[in-house]
Amino acid sequence: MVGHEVFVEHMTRLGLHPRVEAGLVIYDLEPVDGARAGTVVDTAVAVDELGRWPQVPPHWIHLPGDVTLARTNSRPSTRPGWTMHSRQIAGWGVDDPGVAWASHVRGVLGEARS
Amino acid sequence: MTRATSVAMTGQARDAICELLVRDDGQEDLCLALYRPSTGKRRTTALVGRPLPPHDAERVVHGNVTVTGEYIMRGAEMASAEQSGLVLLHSHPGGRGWQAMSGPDRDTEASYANLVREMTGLPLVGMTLGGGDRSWSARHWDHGVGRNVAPTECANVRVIGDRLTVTWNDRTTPAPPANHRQTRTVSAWGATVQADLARRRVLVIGAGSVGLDVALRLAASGLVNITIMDFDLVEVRNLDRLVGATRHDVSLRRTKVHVARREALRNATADRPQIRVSDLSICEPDGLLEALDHDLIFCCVDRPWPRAVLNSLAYTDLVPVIDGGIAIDTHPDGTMRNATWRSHVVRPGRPCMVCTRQLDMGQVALDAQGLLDDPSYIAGAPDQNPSGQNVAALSISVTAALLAQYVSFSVAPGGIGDPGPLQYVLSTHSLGHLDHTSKAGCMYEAAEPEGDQRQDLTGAHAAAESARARAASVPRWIRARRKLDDLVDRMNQDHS
Repeated sequence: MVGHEVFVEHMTRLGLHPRVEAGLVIYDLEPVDGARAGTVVDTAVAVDELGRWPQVPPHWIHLPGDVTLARTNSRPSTRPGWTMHSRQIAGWGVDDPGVAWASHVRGVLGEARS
Repeated sequence: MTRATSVAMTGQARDAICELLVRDDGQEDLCLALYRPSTGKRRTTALVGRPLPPHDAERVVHGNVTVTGEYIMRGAEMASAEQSGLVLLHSHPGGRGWQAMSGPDRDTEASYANLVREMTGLPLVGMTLGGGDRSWSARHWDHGVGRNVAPTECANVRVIGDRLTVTWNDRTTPAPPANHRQTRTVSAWGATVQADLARRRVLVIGAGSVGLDVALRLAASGLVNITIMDFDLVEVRNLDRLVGATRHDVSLRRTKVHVARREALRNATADRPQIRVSDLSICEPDGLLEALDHDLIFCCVDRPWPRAVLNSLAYTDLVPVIDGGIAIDTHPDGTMRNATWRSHVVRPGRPCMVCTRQLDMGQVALDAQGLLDDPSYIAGAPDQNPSGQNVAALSISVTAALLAQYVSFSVAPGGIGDPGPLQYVLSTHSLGHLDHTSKAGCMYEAAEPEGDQRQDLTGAHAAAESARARAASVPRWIRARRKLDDLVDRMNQDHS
């Protein structure tokens, strides 16, 4: 299996309903903090960034454009209307990669202002 | 051209195999083991994993030892199921040094070589343990078919434990003669050790202040086969640390590896030093292939991506990596607060760079995408750019720390091998052992070597491609001037 397929498997195991669309792996996540707490948010990672998964985690988190973060270094996503946010994950390589990634993205969504 | 072959295994695998092969009654014995191939540019290494102990009826011990077809079939089926190759190992209880094959040994291995290759898709590897001094010899039955099946003798067998133990095949890889220029060196550790060290193929990744110095000191110590890998050109900002590089090298747009090779050759004491250079990146597929041809690697780079590749191959391909670096802290006003330098050997049995916090895997994607060199990205994320402070007066201490690890790992003075991670703190002038251990669940310290089945961390490296393009696109007058300088250098070396 190539990297993004392993990622899809990891997200599936966590019940996050991953699907591959136009070069992104999109999955559902429900943040516990922030403006989006308690609602399911579509988030994504580029397939191109998953070639070395799970040894190397992706860097960019793709989010719908209406999700705004307090402090961010962002660029337009390849998905129209979406933005990709620069976020470096800390302490990678020890925990279950799927769980670690989902926790990381939940933490980022916890910063959401809208 | 026939590919070179070798075998590598961990100290743990060696101990498990010796447990099966060394008998109290002094008779020969045998066992099987699985291996994974690790394919370099010019050399294939069999990475020997766990042994498969024989059941009682699967071999007959009668002074000598005879293997049964049932045992070979069981081993080959298991190897096939695990996408591995099969090793047939036997002992010569009193043997010392590299063992020649007797007629019966050859006949036994030849008789199963075709079957094993058919079943596993990989050549049978034969190994012999010389019980007298625990030396190994090995061959890959990798050419010819049917009655013409034949082995390629390995150049060496490497055991990676608390020290790197190498048994050499003097026929394929004779020891270079020590000479009068090496008298003091040989007197430090003896002729046998010198004959071992001089033959090891060592790769230095990064030809900056530390890598250049490491390479020339290895050459001065009499090593014959040294490869230096770096894609960068010498720039003015390097001159305060790159000892040996000149403003003239900058104006001629010399590569760092050119300068490193020149300095290594000037300091080499071997009669025929082979200082090779590569302008590849270890992050590129061909750079990794190059690396797999070596017995030991010095990591003298600080970027996360190449460090991640090296961290991986130390475990997946059993190429030990001697790693280190310096961190200089400054006060807000720009004055120096402190400096620390670290060194360690990355190998099975020691924690990896991630567990010792010398590598942040979260930065690898950034580096691979070129964002650490992208001004627009850095402007938005100033904290994510690694600091670049370095001082020539201190980088020599990093070189010394790496080379001390190298000597302990290679020579084991007083019987003590690599000391584990060390850190020197400049402000207090204290050297300490760092109490790092492998973290539970570490995904980089593979339990069994994976070789060619490793997860590929390499890819196109834009920075390397760009540097090579810059080195190649020079005006004709610079090319002519380079040739003239090279000629003068060669003449000087011929007369030195």
